[in-house]
Amino acid sequence: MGPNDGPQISPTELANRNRAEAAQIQSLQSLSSRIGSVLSDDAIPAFQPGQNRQEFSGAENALVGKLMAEDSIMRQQRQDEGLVQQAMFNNLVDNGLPLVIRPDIPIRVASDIPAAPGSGAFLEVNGSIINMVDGGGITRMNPAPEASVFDTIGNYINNKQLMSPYAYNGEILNDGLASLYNNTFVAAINTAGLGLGMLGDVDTWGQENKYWGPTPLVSGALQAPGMLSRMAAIPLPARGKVPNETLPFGARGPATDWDGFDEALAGGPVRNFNTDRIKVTNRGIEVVEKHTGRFGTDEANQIMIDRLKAIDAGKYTATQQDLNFYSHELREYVRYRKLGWEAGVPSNSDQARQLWLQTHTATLDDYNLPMHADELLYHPDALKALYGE
Amino acid sequence: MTDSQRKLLELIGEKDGKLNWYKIGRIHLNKFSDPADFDSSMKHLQVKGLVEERTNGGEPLPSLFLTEKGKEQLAK
Repeated sequence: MGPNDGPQISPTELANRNRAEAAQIQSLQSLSSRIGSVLSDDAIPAFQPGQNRQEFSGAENALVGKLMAEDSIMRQQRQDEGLVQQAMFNNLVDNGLPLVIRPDIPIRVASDIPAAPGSGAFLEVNGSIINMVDGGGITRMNPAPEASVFDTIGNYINNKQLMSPYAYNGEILNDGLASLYNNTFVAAINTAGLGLGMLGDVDTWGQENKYWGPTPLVSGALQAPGMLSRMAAIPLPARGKVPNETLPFGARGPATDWDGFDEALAGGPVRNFNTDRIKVTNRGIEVVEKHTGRFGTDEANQIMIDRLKAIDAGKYTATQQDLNFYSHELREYVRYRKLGWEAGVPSNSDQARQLWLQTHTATLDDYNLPMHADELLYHPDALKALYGE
Repeated sequence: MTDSQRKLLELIGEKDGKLNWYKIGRIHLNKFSDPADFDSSMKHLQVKGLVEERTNGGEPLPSLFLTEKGKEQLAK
């Protein structure tokens, strides 16, 4: 496939299609969830063909029959999509498929590869999670484990409170400013903002359940914590440090806080990932090579890819820059693919640039990286090549 | 011409033919007020005929060159 052989459709039209499909899915399913970190495929048991399938009985037999019917397709998919995904599927089969899945759409095991816009819906098996994926819309089909009351409250607070973007790093200037900032401004905002956030949530709940109509004053109050957070997001001089800000699902972070950013043009809302469980694999490296290759020859990218290969071979230990680069390119690839650009770029440079700006900035926010992230994404060796360009 | 447009013209002039929008965006995005500023500045320079794109061998992205008009503008 050549560099410009992707679908000849404008990003705007793709985004509109995505939006419509996502809305349709959301109207069918009320439970939405997030997929786990892309390609975090460690701790998957080895594949054992045919293991435990006979244990299914009764009502589950229908599902087993369906799976058997899918087997020839699955076999090809397994070859295409790799051993890890085979194992994920078999792990699920071994542990019993939940009966809530829709019988009229196919099952796939591509945990990290969303459907292209316009393709049919499918069920995605991702460990113990089953999602329905359709043109960029992802809806969890089996219920998540029930959270305790304390977990629920904790999650609420974590989502509503401003998390300081400034971490202590042992430098006197940085730590002094961070301490001043975290213990005064952040504390004050959280005290005020949490109350406003709860008020706003109650208002939203009431509107959604038709108990009352729009209440602009309350909705306005809901904006206050976000506005304060924006005001508070003034960078400290400690350039290059990774902010520890935690973004709620679909939120805007520093890299997407610009006029013209549209999550529909970026391949979906901003997520909240980290690199804690990222493992560099040969398969992931291939995806990184494929994705970065669409932008042409690039010495800095090549240096990073060579580092990833050495890490996979056990020659280096991954640095944070290695993990950031790896996860960034994988996630950016997923966003491109969701927008119909598995390979290549739009032949129109304006469209190609816009596609990259949208997806790149969203991906920075996915991993809580700032707009200027060179030193966080590239090893010093690669930075020399980058700045020499 | 805005500061951003001028800055972009200078960047392209310094590396005449060695940059494309991806390389500029990745390295210099922070030099613009935001991505939209970078995008509109790039469009402006091309629409005004100060910069042109040319295909570059087998590379998927075209390279950016100053036009004569662009060189004159830069010399001012």
